[in-house]
Amino acid sequence: MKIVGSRIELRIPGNHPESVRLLGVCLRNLSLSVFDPQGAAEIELAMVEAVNNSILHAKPGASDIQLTFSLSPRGVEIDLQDEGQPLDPRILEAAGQRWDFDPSDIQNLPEGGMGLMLIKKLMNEVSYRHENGRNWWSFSKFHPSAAPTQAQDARTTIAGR
Amino acid sequence: MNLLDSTINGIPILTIDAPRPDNASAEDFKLGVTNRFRQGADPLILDMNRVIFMDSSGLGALVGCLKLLFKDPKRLPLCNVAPAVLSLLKLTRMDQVFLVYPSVQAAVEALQP
Repeated sequence: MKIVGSRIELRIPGNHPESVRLLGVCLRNLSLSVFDPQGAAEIELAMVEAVNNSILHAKPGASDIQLTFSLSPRGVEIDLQDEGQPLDPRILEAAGQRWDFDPSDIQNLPEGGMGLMLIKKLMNEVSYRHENGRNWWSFSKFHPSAAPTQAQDARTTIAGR
Repeated sequence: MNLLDSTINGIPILTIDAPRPDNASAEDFKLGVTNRFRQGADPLILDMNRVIFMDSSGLGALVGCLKLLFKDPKRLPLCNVAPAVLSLLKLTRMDQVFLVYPSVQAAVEALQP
């Protein structure tokens, strides 16, 4: 962990899933400076999902996953960089839109594919671009006083689109 | 991942002894539940009183056990679910699938004829 100006940088190895738990706890506690426990828990869940996703798509020998946490007038901003496989933007756009299943049809319940959907539900803004061999994510969560009054999925931005 | 066994009125109870079960422990959990199911633990009450946080890989493991083994949510009830875990269930609509009880005793009573 490193403090640089008004930002806190966190790095974890891309091949070390056990680090994610500790990272989540760090981000939850940092978020408590702005959010209530529920809001901080939502940030922990969203970021654990994001980092799990980075680890899942990491290339062998990839460098660390790097996160930057900063406070903004509206809430918190978290940037994530990794060197994993690029994301097909259509997957990000579609995440959550088809989250439809019959709760009584046990054999066809989804077991995966929840990560991006959860991130979009829990954060207010999500942006993604792939540049110079790196994935660049940016996530924002607004303080309740700055957030839309009705629950809605994150505004999603994909560079170049 | 530590899994602790107990019984009440002959009904098996499995306590997940981990505050933050994660991606790495999801397979351990599935294996532990599968072994108990094969030894006759059906129904099986999952006591989550020590779990304060769970991600989608943990939830996926729960869903996998339900689909593969128990088939019916009444056979795999959850109890003592923390607010953050309940929130995950709601966000994914899995609260409409799993039966959630406020205590082990309430889950035991629901299973008795």
